[in-house]
Amino acid sequence: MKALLVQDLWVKRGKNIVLKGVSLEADERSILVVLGPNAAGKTTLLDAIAGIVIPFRGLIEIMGRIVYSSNNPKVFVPPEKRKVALVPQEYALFPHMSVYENIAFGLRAKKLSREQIRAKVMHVAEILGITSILDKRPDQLSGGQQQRVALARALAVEPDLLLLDEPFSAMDAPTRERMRSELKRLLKELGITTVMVTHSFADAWALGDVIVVLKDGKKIAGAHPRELIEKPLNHGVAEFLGYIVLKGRVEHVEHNVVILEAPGLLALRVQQVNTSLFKPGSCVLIAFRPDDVVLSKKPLSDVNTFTAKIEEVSFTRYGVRLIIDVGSLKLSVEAPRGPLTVLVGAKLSPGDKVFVHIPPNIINITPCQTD
Amino acid sequence: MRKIVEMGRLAYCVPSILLALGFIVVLTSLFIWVQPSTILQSLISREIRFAIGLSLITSFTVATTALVLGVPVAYAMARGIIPGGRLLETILLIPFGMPPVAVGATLLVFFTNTRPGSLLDELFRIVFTPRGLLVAQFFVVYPIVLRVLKNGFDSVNPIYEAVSRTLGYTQLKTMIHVTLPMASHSVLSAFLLAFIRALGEFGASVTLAGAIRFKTETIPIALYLSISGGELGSAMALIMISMIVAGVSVFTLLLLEEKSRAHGVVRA
Ligand SMILES: Nc1ncnc2c1ncn2[C@@H]1O[C@H](COP(=O)(O)OP(=O)(O)OP(=O)(O)O)[C@@H](O)[C@H]1O
Ligand SMILES: [Mg+2]
Repeated sequence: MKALLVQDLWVKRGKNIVLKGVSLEADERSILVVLGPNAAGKTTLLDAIAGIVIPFRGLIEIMGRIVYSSNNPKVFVPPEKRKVALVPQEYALFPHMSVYENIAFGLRAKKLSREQIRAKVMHVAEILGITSILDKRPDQLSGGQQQRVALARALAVEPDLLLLDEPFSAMDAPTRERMRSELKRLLKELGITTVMVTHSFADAWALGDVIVVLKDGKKIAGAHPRELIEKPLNHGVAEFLGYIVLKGRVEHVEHNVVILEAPGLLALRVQQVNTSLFKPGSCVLIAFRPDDVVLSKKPLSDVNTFTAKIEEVSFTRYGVRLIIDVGSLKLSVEAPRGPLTVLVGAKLSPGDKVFVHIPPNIINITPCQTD
Repeated sequence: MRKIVEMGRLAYCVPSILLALGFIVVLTSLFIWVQPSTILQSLISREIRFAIGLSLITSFTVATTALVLGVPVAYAMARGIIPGGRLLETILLIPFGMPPVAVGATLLVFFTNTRPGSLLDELFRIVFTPRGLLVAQFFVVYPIVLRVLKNGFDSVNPIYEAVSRTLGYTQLKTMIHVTLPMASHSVLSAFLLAFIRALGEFGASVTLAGAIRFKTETIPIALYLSISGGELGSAMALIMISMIVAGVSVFTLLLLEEKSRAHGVVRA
């Protein structure tokens, strides 16, 4: 039995058709990651599974029970009877309740005694390490704490299905990294079937047992991440996610590091756990996000640092967009103004020389398809 | 730098203080006309006590009713549940923009000259009765309640309701445990504004319920009767009472607002 089965799901929001025939499934105790850019329909998909929006066509089954069907007989099970728990992007902790009351909220809807509720709240609070903040109000918590409380509130009711909407979007990079591995360990320990939506490639790879890629309301790819690595990286998928995709050649392999050669990028070092897939001389696909590269006036590191020339400078809402020329490679990079000013200088103009550093741990590589 | 800040503060303080002083002078000016003893005597008269009692009862009843009937309608409007919600809202807000006398006159025509109206009047005896006061005040007050409640519900992100539903709460339970508490600030404001407005309601009430001593005599109607009868003492007493009641209500409103803000309930 599948923990979740979605077939040919169509959902309208206002006048727009937001999901156009999406099908997917998740095994019990697995983590399904739905990866997609903004406005792909990720949140809408979760809302439809939770029963918050009503689709106009399709089928949704949770733990073998049909909760929505547009075919005869038509079925719509309201959200409170679906046994799913939702952790929305903005966490949505109830501001008029303490942390304890937030976690106890779902339990109070059941016929449980005060003691039973207390025991369950304490249990999840312990698992998530938030026993010390149970008396606080949500607005006194940090982003990471809020996320734990939202998770605790969802897990307390022991749902059949956990729905996570962009769980890390409100966190800075180091916290994000830590919470990612923590969450994965927790979900696996509890053995709870999870659907997580995100626009982050890294989140998807770190957590997903299966990754489904959603774009414009359609599923354009779906695979185990291992397959995504062992089999070729899907060009289209990476590119639509804003990645730069290059072809390169493996030069040699050291412990945990693959050294590559790519047009314009000599001796590119890539951190890789499974280095056995990369034989010297073989072809690799290299993918990285241009926004993850670091520009500076002086070289920042002695690895993966290349000289480049600024071709275009334009100002955007978030910072500065630069088109830079690295050998034969043109990169369009958007950087926040502050770091850019510190590392490169206040005045940027076309023709200036800069150094480009591509951190070894942000690069994804896979062997080329042999055909 | 400091000088500029202080000048800025002055620019806010001076008009505030001047206006408050102006209001005090205007509000108290009436009392130089009459001896305090006359006012005190009127205060203990049976008629004035009746007017105070009737005013408080009708205002409380009307504010409560408007709130209870306001919640579902305001919620439906805020969440766009009803098709053509804007038209509905316009219709329900029309009395807000009408002179209260016009509202009263319209109601009077409805209850005396139309078939459903006369039937209702026969059943419930509305025209020229205390029940007429309730009806008249309701029409004046309901649009205010609707506005304030709708703003309150607008400020509650529906995602909270979604979470509550998935955690096992029905739509009704979600309203009670999530939406209303999160909009509690607006609910309180709506009630108190309705109560205060109903206390001062004169035009619609007098037109539909009449100015009948010991029957439909609210504070404003009693005031009207005493002024037209030349009884300055009781008029002053009534004015003083209405000022005190308004003052206490407004102060309570402000206190409750502050309290619900302190609880962090207001943040959306
Ligand atoms: N309540 C709504 N009414 C009308 N259109 C909506 C509504 N909610 C979402 N949409 C539209 O539906 C599309 C998909 O929205 P959705 O929130 O599901 O995307 P998403 O993948 O979660 O995006 P994001 O990464 O920005 O969270 C968007 O074009 C959005 O504008
Ligand atoms: Mg979203």
